[in-house]
This record gives sequence, C-alpha cells and structure tokens, in this order.
Amino acid sequence: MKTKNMYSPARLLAGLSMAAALGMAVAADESLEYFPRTPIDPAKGVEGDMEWSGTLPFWRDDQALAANAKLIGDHHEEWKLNMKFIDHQDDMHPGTLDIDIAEKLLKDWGKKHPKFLTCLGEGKTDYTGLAATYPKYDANLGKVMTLEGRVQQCAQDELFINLPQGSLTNIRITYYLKSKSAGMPVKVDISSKPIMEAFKRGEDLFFKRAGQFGFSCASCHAPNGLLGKKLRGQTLTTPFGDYASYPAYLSGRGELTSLQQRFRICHVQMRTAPLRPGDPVYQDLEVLYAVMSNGAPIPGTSMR
Amino acid sequence: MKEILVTFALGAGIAVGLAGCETVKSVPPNHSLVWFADPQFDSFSKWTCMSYSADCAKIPMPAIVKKELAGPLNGDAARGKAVFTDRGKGNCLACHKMQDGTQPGEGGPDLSQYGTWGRADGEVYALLYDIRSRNPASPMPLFGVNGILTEQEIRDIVAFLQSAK
Ligand code: HEC
Repeated sequence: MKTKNMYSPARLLAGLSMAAALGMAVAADESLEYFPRTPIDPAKGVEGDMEWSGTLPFWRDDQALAANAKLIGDHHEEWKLNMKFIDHQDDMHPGTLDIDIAEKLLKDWGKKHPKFLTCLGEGKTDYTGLAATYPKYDANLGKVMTLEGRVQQCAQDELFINLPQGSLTNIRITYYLKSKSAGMPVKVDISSKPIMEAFKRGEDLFFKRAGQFGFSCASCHAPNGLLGKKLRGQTLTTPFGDYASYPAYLSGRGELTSLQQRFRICHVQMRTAPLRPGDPVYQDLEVLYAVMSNGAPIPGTSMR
Repeated sequence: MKEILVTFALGAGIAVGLAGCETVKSVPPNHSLVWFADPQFDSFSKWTCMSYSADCAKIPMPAIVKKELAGPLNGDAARGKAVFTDRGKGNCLACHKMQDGTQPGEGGPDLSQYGTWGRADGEVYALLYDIRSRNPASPMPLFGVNGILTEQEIRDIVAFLQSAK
C-alpha cells in the first residue's frame, strides 16, 4: 500500500508533538483521527501544486488558460483547468453586479463615515493591491485578520453595524476590494509568525477526519486521496489556487459565496457540523488556503 | 444556531437607535444568514467535527471494527441495488462503476463483475461495515460503524454485489 510509510513512528510522533505544541487536543491515535498526510511547503505557495495535482501549468495565468482553452468542455480533461477559465471569461456574469452594488454602498456610507473607507484601506482609500496582502496579522488588534474579518471590524467600529462574515453585504464588499487587486498575485506574508501558526493549525485541520463519512479535506483533495478522480460526474480539483478566486459567484447557488461558505458546503457534504463563517477553524483553513495560493493571480471577478 | 440572527437584528437595531438618521440606516438583505439556522445540520453533531470549541469536537473517530457476519446473509439483491444507487443512502456510484449505473465515479474499483471476485459474504460485509478493517487510510465512507446504512441494508448490498457478474 502506497500509504504505509505514513504510519511510521516518526510521522506519528511529529504529528502528535505538533498538535501538542499548538495546544490542541492530542488525538489518541494519529492514524485513526487523521488521513495520511502529504507535506505542504508554505514557501512554495501555489507552486506546491506540482507535487499535488500537477495541473498548475494549465491554469497558472491568462496565457496558460488561453493556450489550454481546447480542454473546455472535455469531460475527462476540463478539471485540469481548475475552474479558472470561468473566472477569466470576459462575459458579464451576475457577480459583476455585486461589485456595482458594493461600490455604491461604499460611496453612500463613505459620505457620512469617511473613516469607514480609511479603515478598510488601513489608512488609505486607494485599495489597489490591498486584498492581495490578506490574510495578515494586525499588530494593533493582536490578531490575524481575513479580508472579511476586516470588513466586519470596520463596519462595527465606524458604522456601528454588524456585517457578519458570511453575510451578503460583507461578501460583496470583500469581492469589490478583491477586484482592486485584479491581475496581482496573492502575497501573504509567510515571514509573520502568527500567520505561520495559523497556517500550521489549518494544515492540521486539512487532514483531520470528521463527520459521518469520516472524510477529511485531504480525502478528496490530496494526491493520496481522490484528487483528480471523478466523484460521480465531477473531477475533484486541487486546493492550490482556490483562495485567489474567492469570493466567487456560484452559479449553482445563484449567489456570491465566500471561501468560508464554500468550506461549509463541503462540511455539509461530509455530514459534519458546519461552522459559521469567521469561526477560528475556518479562519485557520482560510490562512492555509491563502498560503497555498501565494503567487496565484487574483481574477477581477470570479465565478464557479 | 439561531442566536446569530438575533445578534444581527440587535446590531442593526442599535445602530439605528443610537444615531437615528445620522448613521447607516439600512443594510441590504443578508440572504446568506439563512445558512446559519438550518436545523438539519444539528444532527451531524453526533460525529466528530472540526470545531475548536463545540462539544462534537470531543467525540473521537470510532475505533476500527472488524465486524463478523452473524447468521445467514438474508440479503435481498433488488433492495440492495436500490440502496447502492440512492444518493442519499449508499451513493456507491459516486466512486464505483456498476452495471446499469449512470455517471459512475472512479474513486474506487470497478464493481461491475464483483460476483466473480470470489469474496466470501462475511468478508464483503466486514469491508462495508468498516473499510478501515482492511485499509485504515481508505477514503471509503464508514457505512456500518457510523450508521450510514442499517444492518439490513448492508446485507442487501452484499447480496447485490455477489449477484454482479
Ligand atoms: C468516496 C468514495 C467511495 C464511496 C462513496 C464508496 N466506495 Fe467502495 N471503495 C472506495 C475505495 C477507494 C475502495 C478501495 C478500497 C481501499 O480503499 O482499500 C473501495 C472498496 C470497496 C469494496 C472492496 C472491494 C474489494 O477489494 O473486495 C467494496 C465491496 C466497495 N468498495 C463497495 C462499496 C459500496 C457498496 C458502496 C456504497 C454503499 C461504496 N463502496 C461507496 C471508495 C468508495
């Protein structure tokens, strides 16, 4: 069995001591609670996909997508485009309306509450490139912030309203801010200690089994799981690069959807208790996903 | 799960109450909040979850069980076929090829000739009950040990699998 070596005592110990270092409940038996781990090198960013699905050369940027456009519609091959071709098509889709709505909201709210706008922009109102630097550690607040977490915090502090993460208005503003980094690569600061701590917790969660099926994220999205294989009609794609494309307009739901809501959809499919967007677990998973997108260009508007 | 709706209503209410027209009066509808309050998800809390704080996080994964088949199989292949195909039950086609199965997945082996594999009923039964009894790293769902299928449904599927030739 190709996975046998995953159970070596050294691996087991490494896993346990990491969980202990993070102050989490230490699983009694690594092999019972976790899917066999495949290492994720944070320094490689999105290039790490070469050791996972190897599909990166098909979707890494506009040129690659244009060169491989012939795979669109091919039942067996299309998954190699990692759904990125939908982001990069020029047609209007309903998600672009969300950008317009967010832009108008910021304009209206900003008239009476200009500090809301500067709060979002960390002192500036030019948001160019800002979203690409999230998630990040905020030294003043003493915590890691996702972009949606920032929107929620600024709405609370400057508008005195609650725009919870996962609410449509919050996601619309996040989507708008992200569109201001269109074409720029994700650049999460992996030299930041709190970011790396969140990354490690997120990595641990990625392999943790849960729910009635006993699945982990890795069961479907790691090379020793079902990655690249068809699950009913759909081929399971790589987790690398996903962060760059979220929030995305999900045509199946007919609604703008955040990455953490997408985690919820997976959790429901796994029959494990879904958490709220903004939950520390989802935030750590978002940091993991962001690091796994480091270097991947952010599309202007994304759709799935 | 309901409290966030309340929090949201309170938050907006306080905002309006505090400063009247001076502050942000209306927030566009938050359709996605419906997501927080779906009671069907509460039933998932019987199994281990990914939370750092919820009670379900303290539930361990079930121990690996090598389940013995008690008594004669008593399986009904026709019923087994229905459970095999039902997406809300076995959903086996998501990963396995089978005769007459549409849109099969490829996560697991092709089972369309499984009746010729020469597996004993008890062996197949144990694999379906808890696949980890043979391969602890398998991505196949834990049909018996986690109660996805009933005892009888597993027996029916074994009969169906043995009839696939
Ligand atoms: C998520 C994917 C998935 C689903 C769903 C799934 N299986 Fe499997 N199944 C597998 C994999 C992968 C294997 C390979 C065994 C291993 O992992 O060691 C397997 C193995 C098996 C085997 C053992 C074959 C042998 O060696 O004798 C049987 C029998 C089987 N599956 C039946 C079923 C049935 C019946 C269902 C539905 C009730 C089902 N499977 C649903 C993935 C799946």
